[in-house]
Amino acid sequence: MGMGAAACLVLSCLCVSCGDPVETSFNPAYFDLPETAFFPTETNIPADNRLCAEGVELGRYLFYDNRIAATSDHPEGVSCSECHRQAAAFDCGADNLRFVRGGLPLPLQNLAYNTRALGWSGTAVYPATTLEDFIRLTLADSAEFALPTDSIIAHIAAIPLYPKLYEAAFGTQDITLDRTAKALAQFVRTLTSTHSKFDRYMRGEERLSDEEMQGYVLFTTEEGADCFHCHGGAGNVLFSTYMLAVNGLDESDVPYRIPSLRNIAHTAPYMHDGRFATLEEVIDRYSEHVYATPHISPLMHHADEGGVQLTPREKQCLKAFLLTLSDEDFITNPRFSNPFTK
Amino acid sequence: MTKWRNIGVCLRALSAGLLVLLGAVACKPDAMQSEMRLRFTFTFEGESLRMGERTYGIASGERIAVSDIRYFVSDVVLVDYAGRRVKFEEDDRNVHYVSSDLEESLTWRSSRKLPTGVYDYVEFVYGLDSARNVSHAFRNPPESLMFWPEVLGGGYHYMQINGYWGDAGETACTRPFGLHTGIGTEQGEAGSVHFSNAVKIIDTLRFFLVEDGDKTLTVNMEVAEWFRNPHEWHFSQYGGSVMQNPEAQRVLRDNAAGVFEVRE
Ligand code: HEC
Ligand code: HEC
Repeated sequence: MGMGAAACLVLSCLCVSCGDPVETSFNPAYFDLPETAFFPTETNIPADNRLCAEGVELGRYLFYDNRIAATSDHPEGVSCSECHRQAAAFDCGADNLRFVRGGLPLPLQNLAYNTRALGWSGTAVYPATTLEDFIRLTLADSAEFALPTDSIIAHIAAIPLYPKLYEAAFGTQDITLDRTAKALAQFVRTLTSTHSKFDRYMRGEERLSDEEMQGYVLFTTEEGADCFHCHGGAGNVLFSTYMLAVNGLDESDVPYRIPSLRNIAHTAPYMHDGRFATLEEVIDRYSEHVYATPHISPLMHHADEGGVQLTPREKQCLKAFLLTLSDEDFITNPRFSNPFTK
Repeated sequence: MTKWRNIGVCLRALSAGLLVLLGAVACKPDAMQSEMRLRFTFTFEGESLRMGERTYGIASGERIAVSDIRYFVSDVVLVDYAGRRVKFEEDDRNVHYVSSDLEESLTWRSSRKLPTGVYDYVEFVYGLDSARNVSHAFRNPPESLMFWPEVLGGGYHYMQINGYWGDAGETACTRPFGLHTGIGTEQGEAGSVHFSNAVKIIDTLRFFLVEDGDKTLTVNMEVAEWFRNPHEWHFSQYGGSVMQNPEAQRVLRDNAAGVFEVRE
């Protein structure tokens, strides 16, 4: 290698940093998400926001810190964790309903693998606009954080903890909206759910009961419950295609992004507007009360029969299968919990 | 004796000459090569298929509106006038996912340069043959989303045509359908039996690959053919979902032969 090439290499090494480029000996602990059997190998992690331990730690503090949005009207403040609670797979939880313009939050899980569309209405089609963008918009959304982003940034800068954490993550103590969104995105991308009973079944570590297995077969067959084209299965363990679709469970005929069914037992009530309280209700609807609206997804193959017509026994099996998608490790993982109460 | 010696010398000279000649061919930095790509199109009775609102009459008299079409093309081989077979891609890459919703999937450019010459045939598999059609071969979307359920034999859908159908007299098509093909499943005496439905398509087409060229061939799917030849398709008989219907799978497999056309 010539001197020129070597110098170039050294220079380019210096310029690659966690977040934005700086020319110091800044050397954060980069890591990649561990490869998980059956999960996608591609993520939405952008080259300018690689995961690093320091960035994730900063993001975790910010995620749980209500002080960043405290005002005289709301001295208790707001944080992401107000609407995204770990016990509810980072959805809001049935005892803490948080509607924003008529819609409930979405759980935050396996978002690193969603390369298609964020939000109930989908901000974009393939490839999605970035998670960083989505979080920046969240911080700027007066329905979620009732103060301008520069006040949020000023609040963060005034908390003694943060300048050092920003320096560790980004190389300098500058506190900007861009860095704040990047750090939050890093933390959110580490929220991976990979230990449900179904995951363990896939990896050959556990068996499904007869009832769960029958439910699984129903879930993945057209003449059964016909859920898999939209909600996944063995070949799509994210349990969503993240496409927009009309599922015909009400007459509105408006497409919504297909939500993941992972941790579905923890994310009641159901649908974007929370109109169903229980999984039984949801299953009854798909079985017998589908409206064949003009724009119903063609993947609702039995819409013209009013639904997939399941027997009581089949409904019970289908529910048993849906419960195998719960990941207790995810909702109790100490790495995802509130760092202020450790 | 001298005669034999002479022949020996001659042979030696000849083989040396041959070696030089061979060497010249082998060492030539680039045998003559061309780039090549395939473009994927959809027609109905020869006219460009309009997805969405427009409805079409099929052979049975029933009507359909098509929302989207997704399918796999694999093992593309070009066969020249001398019968020499040239793979469009290396084996591990010789598979492509086509989706009417993804503009970039409608062109497949070979990552190799292909030898120039006169070609007579294009061969490809519609779907995935048994060796390729194994579960988890694709880990990432959009290909991974085509998975075919384990209980029906696993692997991937070969194709999905999604849309709506209506009876002959109806003006609007309101009943959802999914023409989804893949491994077939039949209930035998000893449980379910799976059979492959992938079809090898061979289309005669004389074309040339010239040096430093960039050839585009079009692979067209004539959608009307799925419904008429050799078997007439009736939605009233098969309904909107056919993954578990071995007879419907066989009908679509047989009809596949006339659906594709490769054009310049
Ligand atoms: C006031 C409640 C509220 C707060 C506070 C809140 N969110 Fe949300 N979040 C929502 C709602 C509601 C949605 C669904 C929005 C939509 O459909 O567009 C959502 C959606 C999301 C999504 C998209 C998930 C997906 O699967 O597409 C992400 C990511 C997200 N929030 C991250 C955050 C982060 C990070 C914070 C803190 C900066 C935050 N949220 C603060 C209510 C909230
Ligand atoms: C055509 C695609 C499609 C099919 C098929 C489908 N769903 Fe859905 N599903 C959706 C969409 C879209 C939503 C969100 C709708 C809304 O919010 O109004 C949804 C929402 C759900 C929810 C609520 C999730 C949440 O977080 O609130 C559950 C549970 C669910 N579906 C289960 C099923 C089951 C069980 C089946 C099979 C019987 C099934 N779905 C079939 C598209 C589909």
